[in-house]
Amino acid sequence: MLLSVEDFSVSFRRYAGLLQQRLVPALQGLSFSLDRGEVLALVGASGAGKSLLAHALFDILPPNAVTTGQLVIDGSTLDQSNWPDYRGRRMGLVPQSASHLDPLARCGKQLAWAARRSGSTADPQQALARFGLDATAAKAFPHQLSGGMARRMMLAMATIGKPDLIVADEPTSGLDPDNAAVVLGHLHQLADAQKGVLLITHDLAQALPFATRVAILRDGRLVDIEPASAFTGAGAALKSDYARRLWQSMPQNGFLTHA
Amino acid sequence: MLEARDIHFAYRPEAPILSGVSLALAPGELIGLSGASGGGKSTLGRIMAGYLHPGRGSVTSGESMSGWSPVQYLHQSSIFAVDPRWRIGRIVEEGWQPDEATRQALGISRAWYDRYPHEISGGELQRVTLLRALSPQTRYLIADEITAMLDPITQADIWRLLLARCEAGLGILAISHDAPLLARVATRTVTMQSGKLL
Repeated sequence: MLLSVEDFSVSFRRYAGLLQQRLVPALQGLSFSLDRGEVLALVGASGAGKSLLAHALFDILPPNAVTTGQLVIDGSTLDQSNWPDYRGRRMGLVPQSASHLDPLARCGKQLAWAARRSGSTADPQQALARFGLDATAAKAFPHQLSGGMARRMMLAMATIGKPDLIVADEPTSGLDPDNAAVVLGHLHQLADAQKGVLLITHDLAQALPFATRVAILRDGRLVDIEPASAFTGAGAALKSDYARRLWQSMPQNGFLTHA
Repeated sequence: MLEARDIHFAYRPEAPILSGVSLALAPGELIGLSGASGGGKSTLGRIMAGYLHPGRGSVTSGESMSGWSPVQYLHQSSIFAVDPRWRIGRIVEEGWQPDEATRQALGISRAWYDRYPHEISGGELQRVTLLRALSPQTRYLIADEITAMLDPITQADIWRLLLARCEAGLGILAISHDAPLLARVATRTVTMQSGKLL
């Protein structure tokens, strides 16, 4: 078992008035596990808490977040003392937004930082080429890259150190189908090399050929986990109603007539 | 008619991003714009909305460009399009007072109004910037991957609303990689490759 999420909840502390605090729940009682060699796709409506889970795994939640439950990686419970040993070294994050890049540093330099942090001796050129980027992209500042190029740059940074666990938050958003297939194919290869991949995505259709299982999140709770193979035809093999509605609302399927 | 004529654009002269692109968007038309990443789709959208100025070529809309722009651009990373110090309520009402029906159709909760942009999710913020842009004075909408971060159910809800707006005369340029989506919503689809329309 590479990653085990045990009864994990996130809530936000908010002030109601001047002195009163209340907790607004965001993720509630999440439990699931991710094996080596597996791509687990995490799908769900926006606001369901998909990115929160990614941020929680890397301890980069906003300061007013309160968490309960446990995140266990390779048998060790993540806490303040061991996070620095894992984060950016044995686990890599591909963030959802390009705002996670340093706007003042050239991308090549940021890639070199990522390599140094993980003690990687990999050739940065190769890491870029894997995602279809070249030296021009390395010389660019983040704002000079297109949305899709920035995303591929963040993928190169997250994977250059060959981490055991890759958490990719919407890694194909803004990518054309060819580049998206390259990215997902690479994540799948990492799983084949006995890494674990948590693929957070809205794009069920695109993720299915590359995913082992699909976890469905709704309003902060895990609805169910379905094998990727159950998403087929009219969705008769799907256990939950919500999964079936997600499947049927896709442009490839019913689209506007459902939902 | 929002019309871009022979647009050329480059950040650095040796690396042109757009070379001679012309595109006309009529009221009530929904054009899909697809193509490989880095091909210049967003740059064309930003030029048509007046955010960037072309090195050569021109954009005309036949509308008054003073005050609220009749051409609204929706950024694919909505976090870049909002002031991080403003609460959602203030962001939504920056340009107009959205009606309840539109707010509800986009699934935007009033409970978000006292939160800051980083306190709602990427897909929620995307819908907030869409609501802000849908003022009655908006004639053309450049929608840059606006449903790329949304689940299929929410995506269908939003396109149902946008298609109704389009029928009522809103011109929409939908930049997207999602071919099945464009096939469902677009009047016609154009493809961009290395700074040129095919």
